[in-house]
Amino acid sequence: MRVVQLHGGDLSVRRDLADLLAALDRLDLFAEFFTNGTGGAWKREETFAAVGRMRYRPVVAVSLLGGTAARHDRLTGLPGAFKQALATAHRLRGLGCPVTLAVTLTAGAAGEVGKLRTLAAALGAALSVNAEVFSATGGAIDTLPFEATPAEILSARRELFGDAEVDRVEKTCASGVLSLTVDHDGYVVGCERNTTRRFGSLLETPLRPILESAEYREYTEAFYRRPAACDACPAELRRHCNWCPATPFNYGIPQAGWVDWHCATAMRRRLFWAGRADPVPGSRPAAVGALTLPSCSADTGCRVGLPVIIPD
Amino acid sequence: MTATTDHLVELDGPYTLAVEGGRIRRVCRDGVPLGPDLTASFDEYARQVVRRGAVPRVIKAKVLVTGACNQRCFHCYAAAEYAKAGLDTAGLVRVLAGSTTAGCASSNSTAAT
Repeated sequence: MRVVQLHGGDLSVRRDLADLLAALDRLDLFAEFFTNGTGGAWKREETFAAVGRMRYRPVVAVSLLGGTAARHDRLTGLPGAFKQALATAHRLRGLGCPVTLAVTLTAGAAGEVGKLRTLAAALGAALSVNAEVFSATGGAIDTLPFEATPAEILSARRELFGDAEVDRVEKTCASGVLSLTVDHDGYVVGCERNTTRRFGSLLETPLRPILESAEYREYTEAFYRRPAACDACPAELRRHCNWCPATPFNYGIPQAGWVDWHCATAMRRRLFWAGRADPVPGSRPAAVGALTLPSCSADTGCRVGLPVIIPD
Repeated sequence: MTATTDHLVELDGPYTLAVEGGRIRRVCRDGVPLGPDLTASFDEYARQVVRRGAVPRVIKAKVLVTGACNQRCFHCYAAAEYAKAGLDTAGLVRVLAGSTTAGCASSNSTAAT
């Protein structure tokens, strides 16, 4: 193992963050983390001192919910959060950490992309924008309805964001093969989005025997042995989910049947906003949910429509 | 002291992984990037490991250190996890140490920035 990504919740609510960073350094591990930049650990000098002592500076993403203090503070429910998040980002940049401002952009904040670019440039940080426009998954304000047609979504996207680069997605986790997730209790799982498959606790067993186990092998084989037909998917599965093996329609394998709504919404958005696929022209999600792809589903057991079924 | 270090991580066979600026960047075969499409290159690597029945050389672990958060963002999908406190310090350090004992991957530092 070379890279550890600390994930939450928010790691900065832990009082022992400085100790954890020191442990990562002792173990010669690279660290990455996402943080809101406002937890208690970022109010303690010992945390920044620990970062400053690390051989490999952590790669950090600081989350923002828009380009203004008023919006960010309102959406996070924490007065002063915007100012403090930027102060944390500034301190970490000053220590040499690569920093990304990771923005969840609502439709109401669409006009703040330029402001965010300026903020990132001033910090020497990268900018990553994830646009949230659907309302039915607990996600957004001033939104399109989840039932919007692809044409309506594409039109709204152009109106809201113009040519700004949003939702650029590159899936580089190679889940289960190059990366894995350790759950809150120390158990190895394949992916944080599918924690139902558990492969043993690192509190009891080193990682190697877990990776060598028949159960783990079966898990990775099921995920990556997709039918050849999927590579030429008429619904552009590549765009829909980046071939993500943790997705619920995963080629008809037994793990299917579990739906992560955050994931499903993001996948649907990516598919339609990419403007490359509309499995049922003019369709709404309920119709797509009932879709089977006649050209290949008989062979693949594909359930590509599943993620876009309306929850109720 | 370097801010970030660029590495080539040896995977298996002809494959290596480039870590640039501390971030995992691309999979290479015989030192040549598999292609400009990062998603496709990582997918290709994972599939060939599985086809060969090789034990994965895992190089990255996402460790869930707490479910708690001091903010209540309207959109957050992690809200259902707020009650999970996570392991204590000793437990987490054991987990991190356990993850390094796999002999999963070695790295060659090729450049420092």
